Amino acid sequence: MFGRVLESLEEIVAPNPSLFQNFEYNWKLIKTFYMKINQNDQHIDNTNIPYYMEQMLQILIQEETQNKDSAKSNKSAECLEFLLESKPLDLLVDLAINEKPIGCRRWVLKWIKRYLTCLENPMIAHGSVFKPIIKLMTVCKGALASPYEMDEILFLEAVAGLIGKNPDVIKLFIPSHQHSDSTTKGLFSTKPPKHNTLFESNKLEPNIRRVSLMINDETEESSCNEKSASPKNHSFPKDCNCDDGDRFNLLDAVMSYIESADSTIVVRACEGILILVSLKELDNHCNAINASFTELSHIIGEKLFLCAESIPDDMELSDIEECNVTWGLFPKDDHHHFIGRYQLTSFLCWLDYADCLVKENYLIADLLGMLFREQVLEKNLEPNLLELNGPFGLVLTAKVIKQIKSEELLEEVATWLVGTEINGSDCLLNIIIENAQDNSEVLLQTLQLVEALLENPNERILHSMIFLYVNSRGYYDSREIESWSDEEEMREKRHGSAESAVKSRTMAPNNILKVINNFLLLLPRQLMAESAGTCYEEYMQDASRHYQMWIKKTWKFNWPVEATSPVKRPKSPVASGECNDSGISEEMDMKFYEGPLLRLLFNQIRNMSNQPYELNLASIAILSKLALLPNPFLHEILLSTEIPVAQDAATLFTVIQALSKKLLSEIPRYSNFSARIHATAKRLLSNPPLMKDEKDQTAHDESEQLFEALIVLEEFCKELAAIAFIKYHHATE
Amino acid sequence: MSYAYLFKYIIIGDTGVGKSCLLLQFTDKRFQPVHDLTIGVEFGARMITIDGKQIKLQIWDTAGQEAFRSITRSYYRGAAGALLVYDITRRETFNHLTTWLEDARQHSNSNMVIMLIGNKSDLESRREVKKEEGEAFAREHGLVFMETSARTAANVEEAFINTAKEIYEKIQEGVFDINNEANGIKIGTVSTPTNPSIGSNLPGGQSSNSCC
Ligand SMILES: Nc1nc2c(ncn2[C@@H]2O[C@H](COP(=O)(O)OP(=O)(O)O)[C@@H](O)[C@H]2O)c(=O)[nH]1
Ligand SMILES: [Mg+2]
Repeated sequence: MFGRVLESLEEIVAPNPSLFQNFEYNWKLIKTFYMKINQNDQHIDNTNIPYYMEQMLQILIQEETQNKDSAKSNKSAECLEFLLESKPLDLLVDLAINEKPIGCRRWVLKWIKRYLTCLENPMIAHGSVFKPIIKLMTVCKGALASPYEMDEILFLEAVAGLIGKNPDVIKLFIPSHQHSDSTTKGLFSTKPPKHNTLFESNKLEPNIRRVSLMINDETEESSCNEKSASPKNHSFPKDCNCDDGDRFNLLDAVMSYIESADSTIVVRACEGILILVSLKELDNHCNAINASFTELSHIIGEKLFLCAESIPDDMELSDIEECNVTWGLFPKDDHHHFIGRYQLTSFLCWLDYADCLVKENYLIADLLGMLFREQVLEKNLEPNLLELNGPFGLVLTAKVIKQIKSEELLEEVATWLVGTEINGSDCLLNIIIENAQDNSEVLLQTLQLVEALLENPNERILHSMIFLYVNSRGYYDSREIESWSDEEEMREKRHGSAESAVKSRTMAPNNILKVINNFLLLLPRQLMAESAGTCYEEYMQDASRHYQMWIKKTWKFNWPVEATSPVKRPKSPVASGECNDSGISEEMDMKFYEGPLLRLLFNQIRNMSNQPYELNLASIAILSKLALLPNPFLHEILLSTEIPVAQDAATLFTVIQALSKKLLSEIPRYSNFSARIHATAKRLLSNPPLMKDEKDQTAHDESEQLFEALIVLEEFCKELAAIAFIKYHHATE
Repeated sequence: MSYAYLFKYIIIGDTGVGKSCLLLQFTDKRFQPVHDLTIGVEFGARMITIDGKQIKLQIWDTAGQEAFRSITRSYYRGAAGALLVYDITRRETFNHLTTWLEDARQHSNSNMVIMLIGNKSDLESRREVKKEEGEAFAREHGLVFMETSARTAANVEEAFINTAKEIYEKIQEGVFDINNEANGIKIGTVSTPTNPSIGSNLPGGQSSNSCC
């Protein structure tokens, strides 16, 4: 304490010292203390060392700021030069490693971290800077319990961040690449900062050796911009001469902290990893990098597996559905507790993180993607889906699909669910859907899974689930060619000519008004509750918004524009080759199969009056999404009310017609049916809807479901009409 | 404390524009002019009132690694609003806005409300970006704009609260799907509809169709 008073006295007495004098002075005080260090065993907090160190840092920052502000001529960087020449960092790091004085390591970690982040150019490529940094890294091991864990990871992240900004220095952090150029004796070298006139002076030349590992770096120093921009990397020697044991040490060090018990440290480590793996300059063929990336993938894959395994399968399904987390933004003040919360959120956080990782690096995408499929999907989810606990497995799978945003992981899900064969129909997904057909226990959850798959659409999945079956257009009775309506013939005619401005005749039929009326007038007036429901205009607004979104989500898909039958008949001149993928099969008399999904949904609609309300809602929610997809075959089978339907085949319209007939024959049998229709509509369409009380449901009143089905159908028809109109509108725009 | 809604925000923009200071000013009503304050603050929370309803704002600060898109991208997920900040005394921070905006639009949910903030309005003498330029940029990209000072607290409240108001309006219009927490909005602990699967699933059912 006394010492500090003396020093400040000195500061006052001395005639305004220059920045450099001040800097040197503080450093001298640290060194003086160091000389005496063996005599006293003080804790650093009882010494002035932190104060001196802070002074030095502030001076460095001040010097840099002054140089930035002042005119070019009178720049001087004496303090920074001193740092590079007299290597004070070496001493500081030695102190830190030996923990002398006690507690010193924390201060040095903090100091270097701040030196690296507060200075605009901390000269990381200079040997006097990165050499001590690498040395300090060796004491940062997340696996060892350390009181300085937080300071260690922040230091490492700062180094990672700096490399992120100066990717050329990355090789300095891979041992064998540091030394790989035998022509240069100096191991540690630097590259002068660009745009800093300071370092154009010859004065520093002796200290600055060219970065020895750069290929052809003799001529210029400004080329590093182009280097980082170009995809092929130049900063690594062509043939990587890493030994088997070589590693990307910085990444290894950062990785070691993801097992920490402190979630903040884990997030920092995850950020550090993201920075490092997303470096475009990384050479995945470098053995050291490859080894570290492989280990990273395995660590994350293992984490995913263990977290998934730990989720208790007796969780409330609604808790799974409602849980939303992202890896970096995990609120600690969320007091919502439920069984399995910790396990579930950990799993979803790691999944979200993996989802981010795979987007950054293709090597990791391949490895981690495969591990995700094998460990999580195949090993954990699949047994649940098929044998152990269907509803739980389905809900968790749906959650996983919703959480995934990357195409890489979604492709893995696709491979898992539908396999790699293009026309394999007995894939896992179809087994799941078929299984729901006569298993009411998993029906609702299966529908939710399908909905998740639609929310995050994948072309292969949609193909196996739907298009494999409808692309042959087997629902369409092409023998009825004579009875085609005039409009349809028009369509065929126009199809070939260039004069039409219509984007898709299938989606913009000339008989659109008929189509809309078919939906809107399906139910006889006396059965409608009209006044109570949502109005048609509102459905149009919704449909318009949603259709835009679907177009965005599916524009990459290789879907045809028009629905045409596989051409066999010589009569038709049109051969729109893009439309069907089977081409060969045309056994006209083969019975049309709409595929497991459409079959399930059509059956649900047929039985609407015997099904619980929630289930009906889930079915029509999926059907209306499917109706919005900009695919001509799906459009026809769901929205084209006027097409000739093949014998024994069903379209959505024939199905709802049948339902409507059934309702029409049963409902008027109830004496007060009109009043009941209105009462049911009022109840269901209020917000929030009132569910029938269990108590007043006299011994499971089946007629109630009948009336509920009617209301749902009425609303559904309005929505389908709106969708048909919006698609028409869009196709003619 | 109970609330009707919880909104998640993020603050984005170049390093040094004053994001952490803005957050500190809004949540703690103080200014701390130190060099690296980023570490430590991860998110702040504050309760505000809109339309007589208690709304909790949960605001996330990027902890100093905002230069890396791989990191900020993952933060966009699950945010209902974003404050995009530049420094009126450093033109380059203004020039980078386009990149920030593109990235934000691409990686967030499409309804995320973005507010443009020109910070450090107290440093009038060192101004490099005219207020009109900020306004023009905001107009062109459909953002709300405001100049603030984390130091004097000028407009700081307004910036956060106006963003919340816009989110609130979007909820009223039914644009935001409030049943999907992944959008950065959570219905509060009070008056949660107990039966959310009904009604919201009915096609177009009462404005918030869970379709997307
Ligand atoms: N004069 C002034 N300085 C500010 C203001 N906001 C932030 N700063 C300073 O700008 C620097 C960077 O602020 P910080 O919040 O850490 O920026 P961040 O990197 O965007 O989080 C700090 O030195 C602050 O003191 C402001 O409104 N006025
Ligand atoms: Mg900050």
